[in-house]
Amino acid sequence: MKKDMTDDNDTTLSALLKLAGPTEEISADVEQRVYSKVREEWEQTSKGSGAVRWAIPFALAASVLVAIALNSPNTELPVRSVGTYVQSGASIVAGDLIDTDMDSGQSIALNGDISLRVDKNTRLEVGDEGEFTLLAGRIYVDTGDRIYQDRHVIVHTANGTATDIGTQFSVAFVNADMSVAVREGQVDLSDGQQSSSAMRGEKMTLRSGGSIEIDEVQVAGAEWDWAVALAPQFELDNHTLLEFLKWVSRETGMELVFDSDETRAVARVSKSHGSIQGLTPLEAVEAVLATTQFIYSIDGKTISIKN
Amino acid sequence: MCVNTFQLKTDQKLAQRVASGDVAAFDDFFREYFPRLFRFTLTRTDGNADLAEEVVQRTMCIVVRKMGSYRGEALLFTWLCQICRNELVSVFRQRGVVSRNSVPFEDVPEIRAAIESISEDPGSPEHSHAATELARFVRVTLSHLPLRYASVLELKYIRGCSVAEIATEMKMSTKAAESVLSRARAAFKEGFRSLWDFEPDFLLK
Repeated sequence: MKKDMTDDNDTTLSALLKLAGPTEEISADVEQRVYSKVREEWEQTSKGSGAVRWAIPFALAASVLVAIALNSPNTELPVRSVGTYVQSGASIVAGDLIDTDMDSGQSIALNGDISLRVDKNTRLEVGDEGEFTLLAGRIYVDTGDRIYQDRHVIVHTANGTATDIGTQFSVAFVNADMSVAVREGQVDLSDGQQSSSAMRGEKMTLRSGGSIEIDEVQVAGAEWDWAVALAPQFELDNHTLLEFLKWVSRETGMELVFDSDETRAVARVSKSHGSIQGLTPLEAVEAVLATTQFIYSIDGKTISIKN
Repeated sequence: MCVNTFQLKTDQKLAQRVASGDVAAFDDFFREYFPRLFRFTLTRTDGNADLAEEVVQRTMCIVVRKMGSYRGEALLFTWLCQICRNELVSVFRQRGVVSRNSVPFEDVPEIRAAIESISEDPGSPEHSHAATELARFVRVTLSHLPLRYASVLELKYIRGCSVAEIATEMKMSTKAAESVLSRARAAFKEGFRSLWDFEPDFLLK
């Protein structure tokens, strides 16, 4: 099941890195010398503002801090919010259970600009550090462009675990089958025994018996309508037309195509104002572009823009 | 370099914590950025470690003094590199050092031309020079990546470690190692493209 990671890109990467050679170790003495000087400078700066609370030798800092936290009987750690409901602004914290009814879903902004959308009839347990347990129903995650970010969104079900690799995807757990549909990027799927990766345009289903099926899924289309309906509102003000069109493209899964670089350049500096509240992304395109010199067409897979 | 808002916010939070006197945040900051900045600087001091140490120390001292003014308009590492470049010029001037790298080589079109000639004649001095420069391009790109990414790429592609071995070395699960490796590959490619304006594949055709 596991896909072979050795491809052309891997070969190029390997050749480039071998050419560069191994990273030279930095002398521990050098590191300690610089640390001491920078630390001293920092403490002097911080003391000026009365900010430094304690000073602990570098090598011991982490363990001592942990000991302080564990041994202090009066220490109450604050409950950390992991996100907020878009509609109400209420916080969600680790341990919460999100339980949607048959009439409406929930749109949640996780810390770090990640959009989590919970479909109707879904039960989702909130963990810490981007981990969730899907007990029933369906969720959609858009982690945005987080190429340098080390954090993952991890979704557990009774059948297995899905880990995002910077992407848009949905996870459903229905009738004891777990399915992961990937709209953009890549999601790793594991049941503890075997693992595989679902790529853009793939839907991977992990059956309760342990078998895995892979099907194609359209990245634009009715499959995603429920998630698009829960998309956070886009604010036109303070965004360029190009940013708006990219948002529409990302939400609908349709490719954004300009008839020329000049058209793209004009969109990059153009701005529209007003509200598109209550409109779907495609309805918003019609409303917004009606006030500009741009002409557009949509064929189900592509949004074409002409100037 | 591609800038993403999530990383900017993470950097901004770290800077705020350091500026507020949080010792753990200071150590996180030092552990993450000292090695990257040191290697970044080494590529510009012709490998002179003493000089690199002085420049990095001066740079980081300036940065911790100014940390409260960091507004997250650029990545923290980008900010560090900019201050580092200024300190390099200053230290070179004070020591009367003439470095062939005093101008960042990513800004020199001639070097790009040399790189592009890498496939022309493998035995030629030009090819050798281009290969050396390309190696430095790769090192600079690596220095721009989060430490964890650079480490897994080195373990995988230079030391030839398996994913299981990487997981052991990095003290993480195999699954997490695979995941970090995947992100690191993408980050390297994006970083290379952003820094040098061409795809890494192009160089080896």
